[in-house]
Amino acid sequence: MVMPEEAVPYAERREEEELTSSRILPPELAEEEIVVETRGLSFYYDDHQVLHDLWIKFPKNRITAIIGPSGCGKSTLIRCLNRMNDVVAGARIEGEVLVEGVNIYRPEVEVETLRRRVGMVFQKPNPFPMSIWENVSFGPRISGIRDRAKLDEIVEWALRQAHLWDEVKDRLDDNAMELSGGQQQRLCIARCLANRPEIILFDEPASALDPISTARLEETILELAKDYTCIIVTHNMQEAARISDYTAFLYMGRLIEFNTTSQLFKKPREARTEAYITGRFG
Amino acid sequence: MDDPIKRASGPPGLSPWERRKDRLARLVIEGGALVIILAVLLIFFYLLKEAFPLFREGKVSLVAEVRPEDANATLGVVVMDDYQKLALRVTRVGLVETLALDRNQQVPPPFPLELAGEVVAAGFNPFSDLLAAADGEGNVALIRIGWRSRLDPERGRLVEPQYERLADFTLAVSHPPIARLAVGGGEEEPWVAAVDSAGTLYLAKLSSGLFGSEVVHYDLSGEVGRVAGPLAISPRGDRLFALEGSRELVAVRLGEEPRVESRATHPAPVTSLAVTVGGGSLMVGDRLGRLSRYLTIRQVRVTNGSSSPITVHGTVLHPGESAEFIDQEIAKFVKGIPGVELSPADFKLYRVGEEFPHLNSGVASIIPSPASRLFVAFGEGGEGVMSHATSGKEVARIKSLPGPPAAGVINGKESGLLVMDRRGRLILHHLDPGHPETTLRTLFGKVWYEGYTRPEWVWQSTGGTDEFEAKLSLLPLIFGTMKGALYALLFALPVALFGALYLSQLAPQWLKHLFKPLIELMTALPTVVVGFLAGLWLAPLVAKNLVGTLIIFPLVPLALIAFIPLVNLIPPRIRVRLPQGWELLPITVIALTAVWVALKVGPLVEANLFGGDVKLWLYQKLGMVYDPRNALIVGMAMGFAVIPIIFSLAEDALSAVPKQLISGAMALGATRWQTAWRVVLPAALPGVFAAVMLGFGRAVGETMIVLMATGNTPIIDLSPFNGFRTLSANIAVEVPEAPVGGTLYRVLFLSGLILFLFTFVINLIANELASRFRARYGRF
Ligand SMILES: Nc1ncnc2c1ncn2[C@@H]1O[C@H](COP(=O)(O)OP(=O)(O)O)[C@@H](O)[C@H]1O
Ligand SMILES: [Mg+2]
Repeated sequence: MVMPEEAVPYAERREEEELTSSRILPPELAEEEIVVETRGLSFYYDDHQVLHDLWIKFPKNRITAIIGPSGCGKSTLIRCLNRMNDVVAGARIEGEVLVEGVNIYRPEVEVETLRRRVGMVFQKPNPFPMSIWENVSFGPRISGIRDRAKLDEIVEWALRQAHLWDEVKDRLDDNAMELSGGQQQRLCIARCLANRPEIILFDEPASALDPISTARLEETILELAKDYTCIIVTHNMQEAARISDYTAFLYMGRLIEFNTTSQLFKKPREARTEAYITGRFG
Repeated sequence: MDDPIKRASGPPGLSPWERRKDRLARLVIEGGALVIILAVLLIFFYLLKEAFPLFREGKVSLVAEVRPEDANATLGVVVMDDYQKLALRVTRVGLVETLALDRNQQVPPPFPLELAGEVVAAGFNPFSDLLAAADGEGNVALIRIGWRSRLDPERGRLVEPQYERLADFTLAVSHPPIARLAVGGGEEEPWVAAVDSAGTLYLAKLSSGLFGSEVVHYDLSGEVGRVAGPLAISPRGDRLFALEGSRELVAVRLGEEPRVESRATHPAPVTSLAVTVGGGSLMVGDRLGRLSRYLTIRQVRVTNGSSSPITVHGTVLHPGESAEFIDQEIAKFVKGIPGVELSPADFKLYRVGEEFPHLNSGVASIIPSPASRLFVAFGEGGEGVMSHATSGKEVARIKSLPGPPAAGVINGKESGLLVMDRRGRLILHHLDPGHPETTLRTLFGKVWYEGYTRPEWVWQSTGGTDEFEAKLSLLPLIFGTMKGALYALLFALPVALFGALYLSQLAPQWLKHLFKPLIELMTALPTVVVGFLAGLWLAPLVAKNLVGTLIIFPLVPLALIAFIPLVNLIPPRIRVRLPQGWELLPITVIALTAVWVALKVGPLVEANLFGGDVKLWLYQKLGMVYDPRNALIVGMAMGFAVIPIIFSLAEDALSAVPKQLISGAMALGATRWQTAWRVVLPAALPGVFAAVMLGFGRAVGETMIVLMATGNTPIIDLSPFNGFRTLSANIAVEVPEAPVGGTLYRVLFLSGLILFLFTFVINLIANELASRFRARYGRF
């Protein structure tokens, strides 16, 4: 699909591309409600193009996994979904990202509000060097909630959702840096949940954790998928297979295959997908 | 060259030359570090070594004993020259005899006092070298003793006494003989006081006029009762201290009309009196072996002319009543009350609560030094102690006498103490008082100096007269140091921290690359230049528009705070188009506008609110004096010097906050300012605090700016309109005046040591904080 972006406006291209994408996208998606959608998304760091014309749809209240070899642009892709790439010097984007039908790159979209709606959990747990309570209540506090009782309520709710409440309820004032890695990551999830997002992006959330913590984390994510749309980047095929409903395989910035997880792992359509999931490269 | 063993021991792949270079570099670096540590330690120990003798004890050692043949014929007076070569005594047969304390001296023939009868009483004043002696009939001879000394090539220094007969007169005593005699007063009008066997006090003054001298007699029998104990006349001849009964101290004002000026009752029977140099302190020894100091302090009379009672220092003054107080500070206290009047009142003899070393038996004699407030006191049991009237330091204990001395004298160099016991034996001691005026209390505590109405912290190292007492309290200097540093931080902190926060978190890279070296370059400006610009250019400028300058400080931050909500009014459509760090431009414009407005508004405010002259207003309404070279100016100038350090280190610390934390905050919907303020700053706090500490340390040690931009007045006053003197500036100011090895010299070393420890501890704390910060994030 080599076509100069500027030459052909989206409106005219859309039909053709929709055709292409529907060829790639699984038919099961037709049954789903789509909350996030990329339309011809390309991304550049200066002159280096990292994402090539991506057309992906993410269904509501499902876990969609993004897999692919290291450096293929997985992180870049999900960072486009909450505009975390905005601050990177020299970054440039083409195409559209729709969240609930609205292109988030339109100038009138307030990026801070967007990021509250589309939360993100990072590869390395990054709690702030503050107390547990302050960490979890950070989002509500910066959005202007001052009432202590309300904040307490949110903190407890978020920590419960992240399956951390029972472990930390007696030491909410302790420094978050004292928690274990797995607890820190779940704290980051709670911190994100406290903003009441609709969509949560996970960027290899378990890569820094031990197997037991990973299992607990996966459990938590599975639980969350009942209420939230989860998009999870992982380099761990088993993990993708275990928890996700859909899986996208990205290779060198291009979407190679997108299917229900069971289909993709059992019967990959593409040779490159099969090669990757059977561990022949990556 | 290709030694296989050596090759095997080194890291593989390095040529011998490379390895040698490596080793050399390591040697140089490690050696350099070692040299630096050694140098710092050396400085520390050198400062310590020079300051330490301040607290050392003095030494008194027995040198010689002279036993005249007719020892019993001696009266209770002994005199010694400055070189401890000769001693003089007064014999009952009316001779002033010379005794050699050193074998090489020639002993001149005795000097005849030319009194009619046997001498019964004598008195000597070591401050004015006056000797008076009286016979049984009341005839008095008044003599001034001088010394001539020369260096003989073979026998060393030779000393010879000189006698000047000032007067011969008769005191008409009603109950002869005269029991005690005291002499005193300066060059012009010596005074003689005598007490007869019935305890009546007689006073005589020698007036030298154009036509020779004349002796004037005064009768105080109506005012002073039976005088029993010792007498003392102040060196200047303005006061006589006597003991009435056993405990009543009387101060007699000497002058045209001598009169009793004040009385004080001592808590125990008084056995000994002595006046110190300058006459400011009266040392009193009592039967309990206790030593006390009395000062004559001018009182202030408060008269309540108002219609309601007032309370002054716990005393209620009803309308029409008046009372006298020694504390001049009262003036400030009652000034504003209408109807209350203050008038100068008489001096009062006042016992100041100083602690002196005790003697085990009643105080038999107090021997003052003619050169300082050093004195030696002996008890009835013969034990002695060397102390100092102002510091109360126990300089040394003396255990060489079997019984109490009859008389004693300290030479003018304070190197010898000659004591005569009751059997006429002369015992010479070598004195090494060290630094008797210095104790931890005089350096850091409040001291009640002569001429002061309350204990105070004073730094005043030099005065006009020989009698001047150096007041070396380090507290005003420590205070000044802190005041200067705090005012500097007050200016530097907001600018440096906001600058660092802006450049590290909000500014685009190119701006950061432009500004950081530029601000760091500010350190290259010599502080002398900053100081003298502040003193000569900024100080008059600020003085001219003080109100305007003062308005700047609240106005600029207020204007900037008001600007924040305006940002939110900018439509997002436009806001996203603005380049990163665009805030700098409006912030600069707003700050400069605020400064301009403040300076324009200043004169208007001054004219309307402060009656056109804010300095006058400050003085009249708040009692504040405006010194053009003040803390405000130093704060700005030193702030300017401190900004680069704080800025640069704080910027490093802020930039070192891991990017994941910033991403984490942004992903939660925080704006860049919120991220900077609520996540980056708290996370970098130890590092930022370290930067602030280092800036503080720099301000504490800064010398030239303070030296040039303040009046260097060592006062303790937080007012921004007053100057101050810092430890460092003090050293620069005083070192040229300080004789090597003297007390001032050593106190300066001590203040250097304190400064060293200050900055050392501050740097240590900063380092500790920085390393904690580093431990948390792995880099800094
Ligand atoms: N800030 C950046 N500047 C320039 N290139 C970047 C930046 N971040 C990532 N890249 C490049 O973009 C490509 C995709 O990176 P990333 O999205 O992190 O891959 P993944 O998450 O799949 O490992 C890589 O080639 C990487 O080198
Ligand atoms: Mg990645």
